[in-house]
Amino acid sequence: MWSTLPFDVLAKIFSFLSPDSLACARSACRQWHTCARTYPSTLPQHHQAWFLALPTRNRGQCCYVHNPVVDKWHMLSLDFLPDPIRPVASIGTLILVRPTNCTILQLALCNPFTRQFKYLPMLNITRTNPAVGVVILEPGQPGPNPDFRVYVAGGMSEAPRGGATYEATLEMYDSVDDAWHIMGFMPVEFAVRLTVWTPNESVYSDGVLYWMTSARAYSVMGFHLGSHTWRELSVPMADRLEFAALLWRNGRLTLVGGTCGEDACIWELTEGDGWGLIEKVPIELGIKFLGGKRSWGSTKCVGSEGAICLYREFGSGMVVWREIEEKVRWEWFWVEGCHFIRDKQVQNLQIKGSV
Amino acid sequence: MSMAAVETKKITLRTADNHEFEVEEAIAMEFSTIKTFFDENPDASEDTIPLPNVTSKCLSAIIEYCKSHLAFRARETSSSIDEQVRTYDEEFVKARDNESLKELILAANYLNIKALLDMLNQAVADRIKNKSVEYVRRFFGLENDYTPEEEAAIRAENEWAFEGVDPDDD
Repeated sequence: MWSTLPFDVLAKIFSFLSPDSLACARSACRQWHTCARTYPSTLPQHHQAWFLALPTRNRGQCCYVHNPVVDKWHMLSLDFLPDPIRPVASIGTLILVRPTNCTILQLALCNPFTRQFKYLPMLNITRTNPAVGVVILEPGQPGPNPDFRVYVAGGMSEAPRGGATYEATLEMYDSVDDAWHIMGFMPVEFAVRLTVWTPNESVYSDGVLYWMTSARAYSVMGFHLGSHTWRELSVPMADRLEFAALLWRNGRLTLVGGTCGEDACIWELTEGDGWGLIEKVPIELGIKFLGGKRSWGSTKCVGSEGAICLYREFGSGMVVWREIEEKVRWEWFWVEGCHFIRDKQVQNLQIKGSV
Repeated sequence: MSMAAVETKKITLRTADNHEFEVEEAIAMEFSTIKTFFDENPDASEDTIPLPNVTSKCLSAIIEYCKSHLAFRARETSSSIDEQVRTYDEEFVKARDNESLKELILAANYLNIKALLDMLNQAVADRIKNKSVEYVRRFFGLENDYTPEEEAAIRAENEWAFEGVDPDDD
């Protein structure tokens, strides 16, 4: 009888299901429900990443997810959240989020499919507006959610004699011991840049956490985790790009950006800190995406293993570059925007959906 | 390529229903459980290995699978080989009913044959994908043991996923 299958065996089967099919399996009977809850399985390599859209004005308290397999949008209620949130990064099936109702940084983990929410402990040094970076240790390992570390750098904290000062310490959260550790100091110039110019998420590649400034002229800062050293990278067409985003793809640091009147480009970081152009957004898709305009301003981009999405507002469509054959072929797709809600500004990221 | 005459070592396995199977060592080593056992007990290779959790029907299917896949792996990789592997795997599961799939999964799990287990799990997952809850219950013989209140709560929680499922075919 399928209802008496040992949980670990059943959980392995569940790990092959996408979030919507798993929701269905969970609903079938008590045994399956308990199994799904006990073993929130994370085998992201079995699924394509789902695109998650969170309205920036979270009055509606819901989010929208796109199922890439059947090209369908779903709405998920977020009424289980104690506070409105903003996404920071995705970690397997969880999203690292920032409650937006306070200026001091606090972080939490959330799974919109299973309606789980948990605050991370408070940082050792409270600060506002720091840069946040996530490193997933051994991605792809079997079992429950992977171990990860969160790095918080910069920000502003209370000065000893009143007022505020740029915070030069770096803290790290380790999921293994569920605690924050102070990891040392950084040059003040980097603390300033990370506080003022980078609300964006970081990208981890090959031992280095990279952050990019949020406007022209774009530049990239890298923090080498092993040696605690910082370095700066230049960005192609740094002063002409209208939008730019840093991603990780195929083991390399990847940059996506567009200039007015031209195709959007994708570059890869090569040996010697140079950038090699690897792909351009196909012209027809670019035109469709921009709705006939020539400017890429207000374009945003997110990516995870296997897919890169360019998006704007919620109602308009997205351009997706997706991995078709493992490490071999990537193809461009158009995703129609979600039409039952239009004109909502969104913050997005991609999550490997499996619960 | 010169073919040296090699004495292929055979391992004897005894199933739950007391059938004995003689398999080449290479095939037995595909079963991680057995490989680990031999790694730890190098002198035991002459003994018959009891497999109290595996029926002869299952074991013969599993042996066939491992034999075929070993043969595929011995050939040069190419997209046509990949295609043949895919076809073989599809045929392997296609005709089997849920009951025998389940037995194979339990056996592959016990013998710890990762590739086979992944393939079987994917096949079962494919039978769940995009189906309605009622279909899944019927297909896998599950009883709906929720109270009406629980059912309603679970339905509400998972409602978002139920739009857009395949129409039931029976």
